[in-house]
Amino acid sequence: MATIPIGPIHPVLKEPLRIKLVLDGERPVDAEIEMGYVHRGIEKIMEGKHCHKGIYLAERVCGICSYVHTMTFAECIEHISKIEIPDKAKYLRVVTCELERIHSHLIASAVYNLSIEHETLAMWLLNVREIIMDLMEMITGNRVNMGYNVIGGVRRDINREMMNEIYKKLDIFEEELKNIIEVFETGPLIALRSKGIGILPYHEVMRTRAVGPVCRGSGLPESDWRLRHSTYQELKFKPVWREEGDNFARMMVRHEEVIESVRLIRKALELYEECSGDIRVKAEIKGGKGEWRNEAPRGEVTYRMEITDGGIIKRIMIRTPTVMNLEAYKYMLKTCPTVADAISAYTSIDPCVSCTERCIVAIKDGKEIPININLKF
Amino acid sequence: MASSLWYLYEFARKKWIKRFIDAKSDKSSYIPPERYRKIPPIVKFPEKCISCEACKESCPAFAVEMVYSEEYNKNLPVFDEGSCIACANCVEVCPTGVLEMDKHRIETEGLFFDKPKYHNLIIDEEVCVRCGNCERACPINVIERKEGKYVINMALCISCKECVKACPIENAIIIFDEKTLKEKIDKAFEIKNKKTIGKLEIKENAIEEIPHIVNGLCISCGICKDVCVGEIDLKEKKVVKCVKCGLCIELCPTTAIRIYKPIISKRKDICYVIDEDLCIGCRICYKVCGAGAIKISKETKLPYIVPELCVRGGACARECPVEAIKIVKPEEAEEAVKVRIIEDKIIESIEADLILYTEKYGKVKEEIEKLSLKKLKEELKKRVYEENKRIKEMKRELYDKGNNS
Ligand code: SF4
Ligand code: SF4
Repeated sequence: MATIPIGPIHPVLKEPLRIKLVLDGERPVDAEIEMGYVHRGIEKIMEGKHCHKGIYLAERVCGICSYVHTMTFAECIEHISKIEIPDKAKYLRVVTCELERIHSHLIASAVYNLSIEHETLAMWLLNVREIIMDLMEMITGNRVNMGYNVIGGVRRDINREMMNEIYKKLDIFEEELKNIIEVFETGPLIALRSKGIGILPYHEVMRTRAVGPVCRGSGLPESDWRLRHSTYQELKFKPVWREEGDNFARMMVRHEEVIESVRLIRKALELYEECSGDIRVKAEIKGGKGEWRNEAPRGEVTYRMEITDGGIIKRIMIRTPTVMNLEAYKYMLKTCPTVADAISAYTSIDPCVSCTERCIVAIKDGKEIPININLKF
Repeated sequence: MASSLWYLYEFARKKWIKRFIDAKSDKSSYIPPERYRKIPPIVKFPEKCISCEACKESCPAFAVEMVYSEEYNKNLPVFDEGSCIACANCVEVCPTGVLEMDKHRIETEGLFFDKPKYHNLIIDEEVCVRCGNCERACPINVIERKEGKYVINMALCISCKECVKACPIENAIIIFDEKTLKEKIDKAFEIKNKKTIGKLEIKENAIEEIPHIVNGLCISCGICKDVCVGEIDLKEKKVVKCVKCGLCIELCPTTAIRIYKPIISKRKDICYVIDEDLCIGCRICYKVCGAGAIKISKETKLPYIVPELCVRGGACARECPVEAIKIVKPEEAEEAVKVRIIEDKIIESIEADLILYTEKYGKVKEEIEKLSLKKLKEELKKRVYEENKRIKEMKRELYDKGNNS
């Protein structure tokens, strides 16, 4: 048996992480995953800060799905102090959140296509993603870290012109994307590299607690936390899922979710037009403990926090989806015939390492040891 | 072979060929964005800035620095372009509308916000003497008098600390910042860990009394509850069970849990004195003084100020309708009221003596009455007995006479 190291810096692993693949001939049989290259201790920095400042730190937990972190952070505090946010803000949050999901899924898909050496599709995907990025910039003012959410609502309103622009661009986007999905779906080479590879069967999902598209690719639609979100319930959200559980199914779940997101944005904008009033309320923050979950592009994120009267964060715990999905990766390896497939299976779970690595501190003999460094999965 | 055939088939589709033929370059899909492009924010009306540093304290990226400007003769914010993250927090907190980031202020005008800040201020209701200096000093009017006490609206306060400067008493306005709070949270976490694994050593009876919680100061951060070996009810703000270890007092970030706090005046160089010739005896000053420094003279029935108790808040001087209260040196004030104090003391002691006497007199009188009553009863009994005896004798005499005759 031989082991080959992959990473920490590897052209197709988006973020630094080391995988030690254990090989039997050319077949990978096991993997050891090492994290800790981007450890930042964000939870610790947040302690003692006012939550209006904490929200910007939450935004920096992850670079790609930054918006959903601020949304969960804000909603957690709104849940704790029972703040009712205006309807306009609710729909605007959905719009931005879905735009972000689209862009995140497109990146994931592009990276997957790169990992199976289909560069054309990757370029096309990144190209259509630009339309979404423009929309995000138009609505929020920024492209990646948007700073759009505040506790009690959102920061800026949109107007008629912007709405027309969004509708127009979404039409263009949808047409182009449908084409790309068609290519992905019908391409024989893509099918060769994706179908039946990296299978995560239904019962192993339960064992690994995988979340997000990884889970829905294996036939578990109820894993989508948007089903339990009141605004999404108003929009009559229906989750997308597939039964096969292989790389192809996971990518197709992402693609179909993008289409669903476009539908959700249109619906949210329609409902937005019907409401009036402010986009933001004054947040009177009361102390307490609470927990809130949302569906990030990669799966559920959980924020658990304790705040004081006036909104100072006493303790915060963030759980992001990638750790559980990385655990599922080991099960996927069983159906990967080559090392190259192991890498494409890895990219198909769309890992986001920087949002996974934060602070867990254990005290041993009076010394503090951050335990998620060198933590073996 | 198969795949190249597939590609041929793919590119020969009608739709694609059509698109290929009518391909023309679109107008740029990129609309030049207007929003959030002007970072860092600009100081639009520097003459209106009150140098309160709210922008500096609200900035999560520490991008604002207050720098003295020769031209405007005050501190003005200067922004570090590289650090600014375009969150527009500073624009939102600025109480005078000095800053602007693109059109953010104009677009959000009329909305009111919570202010993120580094320093938080709370008025200590136990130490405060209700002089109202802070209320008048606040540049944005967020200090209010509610149910007899002054409260800072934490959500709107910009922590410019003007109220702290104006407050005559030391430590009456509590300031706690992120750093101390963080340190205390860390320490509390450590103690909590030790407590759960049973390695916490506690010194019992380290303090004399069971501490109490001051309602207005408590931010319900729960640190005291985390470290407490006994029991603290934070909803009722009460210490239920206490071993007097003093951990909570040490760790509370706002000193809300405490035993006793003395009132110490900041100013020692002046004192107030009442001019008796001008005073009309309305006693408004007496009612207004929260420190209890004004006494009513027993002789003239006019108020006077005791210098040791006076906290130099100046509420009395402000409220006096005839401006009879003057600012003088403390020695002068002591001199001026010396006679009154001595007089008062003498009268007080005489009064006390008198009261004592009357009490004593009353008691003696009562005793005498009781005693006399007792004596009277005895006398009566004796008399009745003697009378009975006499009647009996008389009866016998009569009887004897009757027998003889
Ligand atoms: S916009 Fe935000 S980051 Fe920039 S200076 Fe103002 S508070 Fe600081
Ligand atoms: S918040 Fe406004 S008024 Fe206060 S220092 Fe900053 S610019 Fe000046």
